[in-house]
Amino acid sequence: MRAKVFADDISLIVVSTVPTVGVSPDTLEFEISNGSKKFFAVSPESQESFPVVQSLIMSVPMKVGEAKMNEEREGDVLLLSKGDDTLYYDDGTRTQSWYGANYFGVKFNPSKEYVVKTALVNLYMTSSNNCNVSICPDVGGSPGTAQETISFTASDNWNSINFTSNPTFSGPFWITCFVPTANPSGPYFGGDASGGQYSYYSLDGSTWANMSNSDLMIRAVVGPSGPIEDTVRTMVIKNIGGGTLNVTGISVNQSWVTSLSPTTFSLTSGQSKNVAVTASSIGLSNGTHYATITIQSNDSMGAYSQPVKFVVDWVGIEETEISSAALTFTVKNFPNPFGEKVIIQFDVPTSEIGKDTQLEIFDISGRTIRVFPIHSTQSVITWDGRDNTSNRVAHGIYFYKLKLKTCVKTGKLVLMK
Amino acid sequence: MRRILGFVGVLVFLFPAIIYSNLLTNGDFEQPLTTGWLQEHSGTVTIDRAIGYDTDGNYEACANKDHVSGFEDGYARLYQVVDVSITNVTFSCDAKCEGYESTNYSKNWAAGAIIISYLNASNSTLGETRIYSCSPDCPWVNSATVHLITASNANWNNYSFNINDELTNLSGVDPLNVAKIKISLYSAVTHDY
Repeated sequence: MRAKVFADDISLIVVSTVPTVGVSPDTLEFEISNGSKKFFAVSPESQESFPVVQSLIMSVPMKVGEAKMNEEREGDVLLLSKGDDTLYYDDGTRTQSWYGANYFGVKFNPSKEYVVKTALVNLYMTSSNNCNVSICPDVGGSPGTAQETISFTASDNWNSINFTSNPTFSGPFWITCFVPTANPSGPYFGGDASGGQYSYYSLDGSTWANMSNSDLMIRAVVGPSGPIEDTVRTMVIKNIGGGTLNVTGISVNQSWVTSLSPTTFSLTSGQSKNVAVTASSIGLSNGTHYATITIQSNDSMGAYSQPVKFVVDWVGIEETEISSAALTFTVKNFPNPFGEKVIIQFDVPTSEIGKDTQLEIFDISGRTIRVFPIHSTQSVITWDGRDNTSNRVAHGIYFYKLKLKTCVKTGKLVLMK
Repeated sequence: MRRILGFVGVLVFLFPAIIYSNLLTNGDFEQPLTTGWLQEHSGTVTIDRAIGYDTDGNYEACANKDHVSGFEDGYARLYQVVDVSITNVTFSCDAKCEGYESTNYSKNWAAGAIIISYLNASNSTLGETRIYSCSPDCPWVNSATVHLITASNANWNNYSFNINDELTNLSGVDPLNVAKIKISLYSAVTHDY
């Protein structure tokens, strides 16, 4: 057995004196997905204490047929451009209407910086009234001085009030409403059936008390304060030839690539330059979008083309929530909050059960945690707090989504330690 | 006098920057192997240069790993690493490769190769081109980071190609990350009986 190698006249000769564009990576890829469009606000970790306000706050029964707000709420949200998020704590079903105070507020605690664009306020009206809504910073657990106050004439169900001053917050903020409630003429302030740690009321607009038994139906439509997260990529341009590469322009054929910088520069042989490529998902539909970046230079081969791919995959939990006016069904979940397991019981017509009927569990970012297929005769699902891989999930807020043939029902679940 | 100066000026203009320089030191082995080249090995090997390895009367180099005892694996490597700012470089080499194994035992193999290794700035190997001859059971295979070029025959042959072109055969190597090229005369034998 033997191995030999002989060699002579080995050379490595640099042959190029012509500048040549080299670009990496091969394809610039962007992706925005699940849960970024809309999400449920993150609960504050700390509990502030408030002085007890002696006031009579009562709920009045809803009128039959006015409990379902989903279509109106969905309509409000869909008017807004992609890239906006809706922060809310209520479950979307108005089961209580409140009076006895003139000021109502919800403290939001987003995880990143946002511009607050619109307040959504749900009222139960028997008579119209002049109201206003304010956007306020959080100061020691209470709303601080309003950055902007907008007057509006209240109407029944959801009221959409746009802010114009681009109020921006990177931490907790408040939306407060002045609504002079009165019984029996109304208006009344809408609230859901449970929760309440984020909702407050005030008699005078300065001293606030927590509402422990209902989430007020105040929502914040927010947008990114700058370029949407996860939309900047770096393209490396290198002169892989000789001489000097003069890049005279970089352009793109799709408007969703919003910025290229820098676009003119020179590179000596072997030198490289980082070019920031910024893309925006606003206005883009779900799916994969392609663009081509063209690099103009003195490369003898002419212009260089660089492909760009942007995958948009918006999945909002409540976006698919629709209700059929002709369909009535009930869903109960108990206990809630729960520790070991929660039982989700539903009473739906058998005509709503199909091969794709299922119950899904989501976390607050919209990520699917667990999926339960539903069979025709089934009416109870028990969730043991584990994901699809049988791992116990962290404590916190989760949501179920019951997907039937013609409608979807969602609800909130609180998993305790 | 003005005519002569003008004539020289035209020549400079036509050939402004074409410089053909060999990045390798002592690539023709006319200097001792300690000039430009490094060695490493395991087992008993011979790495040398001589004027008798071919008939041109000049020096050639050899990396030789023979089977000298019953169970001795090993390899011989004579190599040189050069920095490259660009990969538009022409590689050329006269070489003769041998890999011979007589036992017909499937786990024994021998290979002789000229190996061009593509390194990043941290000296990590990104991929290799191997011009080689080997015994039948050599396990080397093509991959995204290894391109095999079988020696044409057992004689001296010239191998020449552009590194940029060669890198298109190595999908796992980003040419922009290539900062160094390592040229090796490499021979190895492996036993397992």
